[in-house]
Amino acid sequence: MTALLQDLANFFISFKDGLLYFLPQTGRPDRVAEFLWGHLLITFVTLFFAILISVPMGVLITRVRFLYDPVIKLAGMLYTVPSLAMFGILIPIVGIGFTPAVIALTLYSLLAIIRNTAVGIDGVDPAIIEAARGMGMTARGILLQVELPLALPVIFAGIRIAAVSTISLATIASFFGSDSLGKLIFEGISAGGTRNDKVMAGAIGAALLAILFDQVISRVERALPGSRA
Amino acid sequence: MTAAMPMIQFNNVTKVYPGAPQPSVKNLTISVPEGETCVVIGPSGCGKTTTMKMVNRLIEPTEGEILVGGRDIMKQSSVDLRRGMGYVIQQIGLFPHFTIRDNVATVPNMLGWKKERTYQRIDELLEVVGLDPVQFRDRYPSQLSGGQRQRVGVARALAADPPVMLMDEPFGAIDPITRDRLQNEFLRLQKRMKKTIMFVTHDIDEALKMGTLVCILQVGGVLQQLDSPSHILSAPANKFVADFVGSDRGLKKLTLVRVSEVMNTELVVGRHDQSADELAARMRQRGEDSLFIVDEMEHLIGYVNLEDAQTQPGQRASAILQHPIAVTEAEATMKDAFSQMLSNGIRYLPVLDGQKRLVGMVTADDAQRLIEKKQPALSRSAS
Ligand SMILES: Nc1ncnc2c1ncn2[C@@H]1O[C@H](COP(=O)(O)OP(=O)(O)O)[C@@H](O)[C@H]1O
Ligand SMILES: [Mg+2]
Repeated sequence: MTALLQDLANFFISFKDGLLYFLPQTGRPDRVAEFLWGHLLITFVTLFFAILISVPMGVLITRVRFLYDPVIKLAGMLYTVPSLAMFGILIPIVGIGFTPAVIALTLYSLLAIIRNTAVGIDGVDPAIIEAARGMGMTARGILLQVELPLALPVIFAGIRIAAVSTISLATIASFFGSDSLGKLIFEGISAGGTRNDKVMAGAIGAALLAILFDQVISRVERALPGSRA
Repeated sequence: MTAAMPMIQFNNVTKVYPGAPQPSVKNLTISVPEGETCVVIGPSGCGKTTTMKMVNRLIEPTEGEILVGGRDIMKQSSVDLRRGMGYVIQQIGLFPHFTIRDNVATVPNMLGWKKERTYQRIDELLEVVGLDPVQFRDRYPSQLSGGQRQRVGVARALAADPPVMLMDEPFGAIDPITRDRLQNEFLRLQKRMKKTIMFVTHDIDEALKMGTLVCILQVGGVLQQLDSPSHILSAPANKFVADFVGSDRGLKKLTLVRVSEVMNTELVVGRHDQSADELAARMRQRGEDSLFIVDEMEHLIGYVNLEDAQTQPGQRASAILQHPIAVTEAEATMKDAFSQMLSNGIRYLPVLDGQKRLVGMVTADDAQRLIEKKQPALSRSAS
């Protein structure tokens, strides 16, 4: 019982120390800012490539049906590769640092965005598509003006899932030399219990970032015109 | 193009879906002259929708040719073909992320119309289908009732003023009362527009009401009869048609007669600002026991009973009037009117025009006389 209370007390102490690490007098806000920037950079570059690959791929598999299952299966397999193994495979090929982080996190993001794009497009009421075709809209017009806008809330839900998992996995990527809030965590751990404030600061920062992205993207999702349906 | 050339012509058209053992439409030859409304009807799965969708190439025929305005539809771009035809479906298919204005503007935008022209046309069209443009154009489809949405569906199909309209059970998912109103409105519209229409339904009353031609298909897309509504009733081509049209032939005859053809237009009406004394005197003089009351715009606002007028002589009409129980429209069929009288337990119905002005009255006796008459009124086959 007393051991548990002791643990709880230690947790709150390091939580407070973690918060103090964000302040100029008691910590290193400059380093937090630097790692936050690195974290954001990995996240944005990853999402950029993930969207660039996955949305067209999601559209493609709704058009060429026999690709649907193989593509989803492949993206699903990539998603299940443990992250340490993924980096282990990539590092001999592309070295350490930013590049393997972005590649690995992009690969993890494919499944959510490809699948949600396809599900979103397939979910558009067939009567709407038929009316569009019947009025003489071209296939391209139907995709750009009808299907994608109506699928957008579902696609954004996929992007939100990808963003949150990218932010959490980006902390691990620091282990392989990329700059992110994870670096604070690993530095803290290697100090052997003397720098739990760093561990906490990194963890709090990454968690807040994930919550922030989740909230912002879900706001966008609800404001999209396609969510009127 | 000669005047006799049909607007829509099917020549030996057959459709076999890939993998299907039987054709869905078989060796169909029909022609629809300009300005006619051809209603395609038959049991479920008989190929009505397939027939209609072949006209705008949403489905391509396996054999045979289809001409629209004299031109082979397979020899033009399907996109251009479709932009020149209105298309209305039961599920309506409005774009939920577009405002009503942008929905109606779909075809004009694709045709590259100038903004002012499109906007002017949209307001005009919303007016035409009975929706106030100021109130409705900036709304989204989810903010409209089913009947209002289908009005927008019709406006959208009419946007670029196409000569041909394809309508697949357009009023099929709408409640009966609203459906009657939409049918009447559409008939009024068509009187002015004179479009060539292919209209699919599975409801024989709707077919007889809306069609100038009725095309009856048997399962497998085999043509049974293509004829005027009155001939379909008076001279069914075979047992299938006779059975399909139904056994209540006497009542069906009512479908061929418009309310406007039999209504009494010499009505004695009271005005909303007259006194009960005046109204009672009027009724006694005419031997009536009630009187329709209209406002200064001739809009029907109700009726006054002789008894109420006599017991409250000092009142104005507007204070003692009762609201109309049910009304009908000049374009409605006597079948519509009669079934409304039966379901409301009344023996007469006031008749309103498109502007809701009182223009006449029909009675249950009018309907009875028509049912008992030996020959159905043939006026519509000539029109
Ligand atoms: N896309 C399709 N593929 C295969 N068969 C179809 C298709 N569409 C319709 N059919 C078949 O063709 C027949 C006619 O269908 P349809 O034209 O929709 O009938 P209706 O509109 O009169 O109910 C039916 O037997 C239906 O099952
Ligand atoms: Mg059908």
